[in-house]
Amino acid sequence: MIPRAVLFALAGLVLAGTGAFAQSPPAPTLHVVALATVPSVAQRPATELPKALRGNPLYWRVLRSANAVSYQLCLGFFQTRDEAERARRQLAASFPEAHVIQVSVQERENLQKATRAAAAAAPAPAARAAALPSAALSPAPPAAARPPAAAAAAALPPPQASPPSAETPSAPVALAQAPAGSAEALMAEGRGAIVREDYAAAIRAFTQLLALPQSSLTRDAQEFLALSYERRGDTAHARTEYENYLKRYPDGEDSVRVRQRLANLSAEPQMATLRSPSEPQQGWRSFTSGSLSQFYYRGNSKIDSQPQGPNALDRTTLSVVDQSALITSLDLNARVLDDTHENRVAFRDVNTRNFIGGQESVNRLDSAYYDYKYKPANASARLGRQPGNTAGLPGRFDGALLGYGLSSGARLNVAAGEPVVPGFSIDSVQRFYGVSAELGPFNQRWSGNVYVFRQTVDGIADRDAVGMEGRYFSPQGYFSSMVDYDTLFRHLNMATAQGNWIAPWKTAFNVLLDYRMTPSLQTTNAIIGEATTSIRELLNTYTEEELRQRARAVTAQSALAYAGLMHPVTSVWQLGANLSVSRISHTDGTNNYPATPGSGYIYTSTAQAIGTGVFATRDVTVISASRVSADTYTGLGGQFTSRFPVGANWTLDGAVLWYRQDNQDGSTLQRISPVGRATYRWRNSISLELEAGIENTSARSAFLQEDTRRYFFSAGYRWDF
Amino acid sequence: MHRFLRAVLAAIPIAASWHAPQALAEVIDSIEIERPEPAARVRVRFTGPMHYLRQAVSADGVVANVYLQGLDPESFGGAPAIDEVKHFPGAASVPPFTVRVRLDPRCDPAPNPVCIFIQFERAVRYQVRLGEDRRSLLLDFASEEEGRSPSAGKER
Repeated sequence: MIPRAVLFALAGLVLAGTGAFAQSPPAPTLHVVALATVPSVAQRPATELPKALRGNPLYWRVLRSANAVSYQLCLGFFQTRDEAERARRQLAASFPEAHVIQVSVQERENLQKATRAAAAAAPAPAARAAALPSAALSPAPPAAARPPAAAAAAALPPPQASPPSAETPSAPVALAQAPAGSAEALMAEGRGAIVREDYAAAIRAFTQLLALPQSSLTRDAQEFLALSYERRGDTAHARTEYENYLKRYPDGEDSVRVRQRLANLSAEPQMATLRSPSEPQQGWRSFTSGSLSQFYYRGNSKIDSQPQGPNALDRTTLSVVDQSALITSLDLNARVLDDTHENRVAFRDVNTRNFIGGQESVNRLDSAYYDYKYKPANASARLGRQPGNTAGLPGRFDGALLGYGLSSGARLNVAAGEPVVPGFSIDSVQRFYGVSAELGPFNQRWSGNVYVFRQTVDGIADRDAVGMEGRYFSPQGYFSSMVDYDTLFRHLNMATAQGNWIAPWKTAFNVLLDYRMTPSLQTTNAIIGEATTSIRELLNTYTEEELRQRARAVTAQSALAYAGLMHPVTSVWQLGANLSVSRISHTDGTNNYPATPGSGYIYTSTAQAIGTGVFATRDVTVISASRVSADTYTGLGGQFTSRFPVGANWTLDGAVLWYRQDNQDGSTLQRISPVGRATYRWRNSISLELEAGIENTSARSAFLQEDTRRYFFSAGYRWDF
Repeated sequence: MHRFLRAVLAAIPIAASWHAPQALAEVIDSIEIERPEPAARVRVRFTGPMHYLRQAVSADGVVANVYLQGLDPESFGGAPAIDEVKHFPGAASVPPFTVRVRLDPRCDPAPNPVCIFIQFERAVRYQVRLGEDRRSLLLDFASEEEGRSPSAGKER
């Protein structure tokens, strides 16, 4: 295999019998300027081009005589001799021997073919260097400080001493013949834009290229994108893109160069005067967003009960308001950031005011944290009530999470705090600390993490865990698996494997295998069924080991296997189906909490049709049917939902749900529920919403016939700011 | 000024968390621009891991339904009485949009369904997919020029 560097060493050579071309072109319809003739391409003249000529291709022609080969550096292509002569005069000072020659159209086509051949080959580091301004290889001042013609010289093939070849050459320029929107065309467009110093166009092209599926050009595009930002003077984005490059390609000589560029970028002073007025101001910026909403919920149930049998009592009717509450929600996000630092505050609180006697009004704080990021070191600190969105941590906790980027492919996280378990208040103090390492991405696709975690409750061990997660992520889909093992209980706490894949024929597949202890294995589970929620008190009766045995005895195991597919059959409809099998194990129970039977295997099969644009331009309509089969019952369900905006301000939602269950003991249950919702958006910041529905449930058994009708509605507003 | 502001902002949640009762359901942690224009990427970060099930996007991209399955529903804080709604104010190449999260088991037949309804304020072209961390949804937008073209719409 020809090394990539050698491939590029041939770049720009046009070899198809150029001796003949130079002397007597068969169809002389184009003109080029022969700038200089040298015995070796290594002796390429290092001279700048005027700005007006930087868009013209430079290439080598090979001149063969009886016993020698020489190389002619040419600037093409001009439709008329006069145009070429004007160009020659502009270059006369630098190329005193320059002269105009006629060439065939075929020569230009040969160059284009060679260019496409080059695009098909993996670009070499040398190719990237040659196609880029020289600053890509070495520190350079910002764009406006560079000599005007520095970029033009970069369009020349690099100096080299590789022997010429009579084979079809490759060239790193003029990829415009590739299909519009293709990676090759975008790469050519971007490179050309860099040479023209049109960095906005370059950024656009490379960003579009990066949005395409992974290709041999992706890596270059990532580097060029960063360089374009750098040349535009947008240091923040340049730094981000260089860092993205290093995350994806941490290894290789190119990465060394990019790392150097990043280092130089950090060292370069900010030159605000270089930015145009239209470019965003750097420095401290602040953003605030959030919402305030209030919704009133009301539900009214009417229950008709008719006992069955020869001695049955009379029919009874009960009507009751089962819900009357005002729910107020405040969501606030504020950011203050500059190129280096980012400060964020998140706050979310939900207050429920109940108007029904005996139902408590509650105020619950979901999130209240301060988050700080120091971008150059990929360091962060988060303090307060927060979601545990890092591996191994509780779902939500009060505490601190610190992170530091050890390298482009490794990040260390340390966390400590107290877990928050919604709706589960205990008279014990749980505390935890944990360490995790985020690894990757490697080759832009692989990543994962490992962690250790320790939690105590009232001073004794509550949960000790080690775990890991591995992920593969590509444009076509992903696969992920994770394992959490409790070293305290010496038992697997959780294991999950999941994947999603889109085939070339657009069928989407997804699978999930999930096993977990439910609730999550910890000593605190021992309070289930006890009169106290204090582990400290239970320790007066039981030893630590006994508590763990009791915890294990009330903790079930949940297992789920799920597989599904979805395929677009028309431009409107996609059809899909899925199957799942689930099971929850029995629990042994304790002297204070009875054993619970297992669920047995529950099989669920679902067929689904999703339509877009069925009733209107923007509606999304879902029709599904499900069948559930378990040891003690079978169920059938159907669902129709549709959601569509009407005009600029209205959105309508409608749904009808139906379910029927036949139990093994002969009893049946049937439920149907139509629901509708209308949302009106006023002045882009206020939403008014009204939802209403009915749920009819009929239960039949040998002893009782019961019909329940429930009316419910909600109304409220949300202010987005 | 900024130093003072930062100190004040930092003090609010810390003080609040000292006296905070337990949390309620919250699926969305943040909505952030992760990659700038012209082909922006927005990451909707969740508070727990998810499994992707399916999606449907209207022809002009204004409406998108994304169906996920919560793998650790406890991390959401329990089933809420109300939908969670978050509004994203938009950016240069990303129109404003609203994300509604519904955890109602009736919104999808899958176990622990997490139904995400996204509505943009104008036609837009983008791709939706689950993030590599399983805890986020990625919205990858086409460049602004392309998004405004008559052919703007969904990409799956």
